[in-house]
Amino acid sequence: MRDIERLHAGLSERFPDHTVEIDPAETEAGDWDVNVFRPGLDPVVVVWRPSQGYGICTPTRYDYGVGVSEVFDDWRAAMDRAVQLVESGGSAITPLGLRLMEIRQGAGMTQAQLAEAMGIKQASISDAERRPDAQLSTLARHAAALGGALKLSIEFPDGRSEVLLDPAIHGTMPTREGRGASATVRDARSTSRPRRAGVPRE
Amino acid sequence: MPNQIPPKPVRLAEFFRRLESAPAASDADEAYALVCGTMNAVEDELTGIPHDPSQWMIDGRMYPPQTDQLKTVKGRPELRRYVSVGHSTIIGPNGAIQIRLKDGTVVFEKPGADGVSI
Repeated sequence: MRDIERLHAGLSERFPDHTVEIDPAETEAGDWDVNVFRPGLDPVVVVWRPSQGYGICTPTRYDYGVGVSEVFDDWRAAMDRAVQLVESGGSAITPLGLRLMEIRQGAGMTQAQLAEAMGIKQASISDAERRPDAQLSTLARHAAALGGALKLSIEFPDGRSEVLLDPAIHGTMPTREGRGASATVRDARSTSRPRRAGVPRE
Repeated sequence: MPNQIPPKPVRLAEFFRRLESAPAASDADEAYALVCGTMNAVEDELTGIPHDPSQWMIDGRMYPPQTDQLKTVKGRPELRRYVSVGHSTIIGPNGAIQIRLKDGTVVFEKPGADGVSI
């Protein structure tokens, strides 16, 4: 039995009330898909491509011809994440750089325009939009250049919320040129550390 | 690059609109070329994001079905099924095209040149 088949069996056992189907590859290098259908929600899709590992996404009806959101090396880590998504009803995480790009595009700005507003080179914007993580100060500058402000909090399972940064309370976060924070935000909330989507394991 | 890139639902609707208004394909290869050509034209015109399939997971561009993700349809060996993360693009030997969500919901349908659908 292949690991992807173990993953399928594990999800089927864990969620007997859900439809969990497997769509095997038909070529040596092709994708295997395991789909978990959540009533009223987008499905959780696990894609195994032998050369690239396990990808997870929760595609909407509009996600035609796009890639997976999170990538894992290990099938158990992928299964843990799929379980988490089914149980929580949540969505897979869009890679941070891609999300920054979507927000910039939504604001109608080119990379050059955003770079000018931030006082940096266009290449730096291009670089940021391909990275899986970012400095808080960089995010704060992005937000400011787009006309917004960065807000950050920790949400606990018991419903508590601890605010780390709220422009309504703290004002605009200082950038690195000032007394900026140097913490890093990753585009992962899983403890199993997904790899950056789109980077093959070579 | 356009000053403002339309969101994905708008681009997908434009893809479906152009695909629907195009002359019907008469065989599977023609239908596959129609799907790919239409998708690439929409993304070239509306996004300006360079066509670079090696960046398909992180560049925000929609890419047409890939030949290495070709599968069959159970009980319908004459059909081609191109699988992507959220959809299946089914193509018939008569040039018919059907796009389905993972749960089987049909979101696009176009008959082949003979007028017959999938």
